Amino acid sequence: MSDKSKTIEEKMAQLRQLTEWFEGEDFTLGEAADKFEQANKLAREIEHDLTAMKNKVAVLKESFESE
Amino acid sequence: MGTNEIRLSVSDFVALVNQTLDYALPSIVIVGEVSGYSVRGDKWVRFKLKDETSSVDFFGSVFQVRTPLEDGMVVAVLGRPRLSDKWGFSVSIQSVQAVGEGSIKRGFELLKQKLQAEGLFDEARKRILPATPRHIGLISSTQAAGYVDFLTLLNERWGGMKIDVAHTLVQGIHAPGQITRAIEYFNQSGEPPEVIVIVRGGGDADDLAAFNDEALVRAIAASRIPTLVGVGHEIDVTLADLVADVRAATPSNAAEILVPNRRELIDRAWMSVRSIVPTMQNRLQDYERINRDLLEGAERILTDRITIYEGEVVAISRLLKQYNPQTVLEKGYAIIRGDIDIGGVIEIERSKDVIKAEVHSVRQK
Repeated sequence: MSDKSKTIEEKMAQLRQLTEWFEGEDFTLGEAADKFEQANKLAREIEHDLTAMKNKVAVLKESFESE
Repeated sequence: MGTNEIRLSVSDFVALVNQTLDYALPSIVIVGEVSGYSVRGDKWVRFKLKDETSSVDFFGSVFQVRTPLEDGMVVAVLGRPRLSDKWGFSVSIQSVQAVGEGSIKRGFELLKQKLQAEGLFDEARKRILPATPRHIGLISSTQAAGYVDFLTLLNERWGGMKIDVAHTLVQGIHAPGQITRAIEYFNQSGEPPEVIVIVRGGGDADDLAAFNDEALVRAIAASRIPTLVGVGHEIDVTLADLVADVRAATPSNAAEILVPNRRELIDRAWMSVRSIVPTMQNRLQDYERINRDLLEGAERILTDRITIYEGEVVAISRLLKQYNPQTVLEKGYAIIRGDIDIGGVIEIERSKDVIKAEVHSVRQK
């Protein structure tokens, strides 16, 4: 299930942070597996959220012909 | 003169003619070549439209003409024929549109120079469009190919948006007015969109002429809502394109500019995840190398210590051997034990034997 409380932009930012963690100074082997699973989960949610988005198109009833 | 003709006063005649014109020709479009063009007091425009055999007077305000004219241009004038009690017969101008490639091009150049001089096309005026708009105001003809192209690609690329469509003509003499009213509608809306998009597909110079209309161009410039215009083919550039905040080469290009591509974002997310694997591998190799270096370092230190200790043991052994009584005996010395008084019995230990002896004398050295 996707975390609806976060926007897609927030999830992309969080995924970016996770990727950077693996290259950063805070990296530890002990946390690596858990962080990788978090990244996987985020990517799945992002794909789900982006695929599910639909647009609402409404043609205005207003007439723009001259009076 | 007979008695059967209708006799009218001049005023009555004028009124009758105008009544007849109002009934038969309330408005009409007349096409011809401009001649005798003049502007009085920056407000009133007069010119004739002529063809090979005839000419008709036209009169109107600068606002209604909306595009700079020159003698020789061929134009279509929407107007109302009138017989004026003072000025004679003329057509009251409602709107003017250049006709034919040459006239359209000339009108375009004149108007472009005028608006450029006013700064309407300046880069400093251009606003940035929102990165992912949630509410779009779309102005187009719902029957036009450009409208379908734009919406198809927009729906493919992105979602979650509300798109309000203002259906208008996108060519012909009435198009500029309708598009202008649609722009004003969105600007005055209680819930205005974040961006106004105006699109139509390709066409010849006549088809796109509406987008060079001065009032339309000014309406786009005056819009408080940022505007994106995607009209015609790649090489067509209208004044509406130049004045918009962002210009798209085609309706499809407008969709590409307006929203990101969700497929690309999905691919980028998975690429990020995949990129972790080689990073992890490098990290593991680093860990292995560090551990190996530590072990080798420890081994070197231990080896050095052991060498030092071995040396010390050898030195101590040598020292112990030196002080070993057996070593002294082997050098020819002897150990004497027992009573050394005269007549006493002593034991003399040499390296290979032990001698018992009686003491006969003792002398001090």
